Amino acid sequence: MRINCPVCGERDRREFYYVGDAVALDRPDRDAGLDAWDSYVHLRDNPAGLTRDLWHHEAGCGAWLVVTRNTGTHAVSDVVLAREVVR
Amino acid sequence: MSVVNLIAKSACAGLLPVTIGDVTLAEVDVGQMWSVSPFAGSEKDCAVALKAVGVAWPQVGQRAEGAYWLGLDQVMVYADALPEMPAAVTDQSDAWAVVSVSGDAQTVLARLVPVDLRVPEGAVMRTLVGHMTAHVSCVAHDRFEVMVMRSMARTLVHDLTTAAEAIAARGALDVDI
Ligand SMILES: [Zn+2]
Repeated sequence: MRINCPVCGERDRREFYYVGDAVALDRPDRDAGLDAWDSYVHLRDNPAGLTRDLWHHEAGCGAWLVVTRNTGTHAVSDVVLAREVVR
Repeated sequence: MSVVNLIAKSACAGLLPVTIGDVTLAEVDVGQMWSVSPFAGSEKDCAVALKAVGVAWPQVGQRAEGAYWLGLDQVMVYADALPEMPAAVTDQSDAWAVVSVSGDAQTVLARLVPVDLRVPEGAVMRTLVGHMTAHVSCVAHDRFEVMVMRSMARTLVHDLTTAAEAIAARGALDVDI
């Protein structure tokens, strides 16, 4: 598996650290309520298909990335810098 | 109180230089250097401040006069001192081990580095050497410089030596490969 880092170009998977669902970028408001916070902290989908995950280019430029990947085919369809994702 | 004169010891002291087959490994004395991470939106101001002391701001993945790209929003600058800048500046002198690999450097590094090394002169990459995070730069088509944290100096020399020895041994077999 290879990931096309927007900064470094296409690199081997071993240079990256997998962090988890990119839902972490969608932190609820402080007063959003227990359900929203419960969902944000604990509940994750487990799709057979597209996922949107955070990866860290740990052994590269150090960027946080949002990688869109298909868990069925392992195809990576999109990689963007996390800081450029509009929240 | 008496003044103690401390003797500077380089990261690869006692380990290099060494020549194996057509490949020579040597330590590079990089002297005083600083990492510069501009505060948000301040890259231009930092570039202007550095230009005044003769340092060019490097492009992503490139070397420039007196500096090179170090990572996202981070460059390394060679200088005895730096001007005031809107940036996080850290003295990196003596924190790194830098080894030049000359000769068939691409073949040696291809065994250790998971990136395509057929890059133009002046290209720099953050990547891995074996299991170590490293900074690899192409000085010339037959000379690369590899930088790792100083504590990894012995491991870097060991990895490069092992790779160079394997290539020299294979060359000595004198068979078509
Ligand atoms: Zn990168």
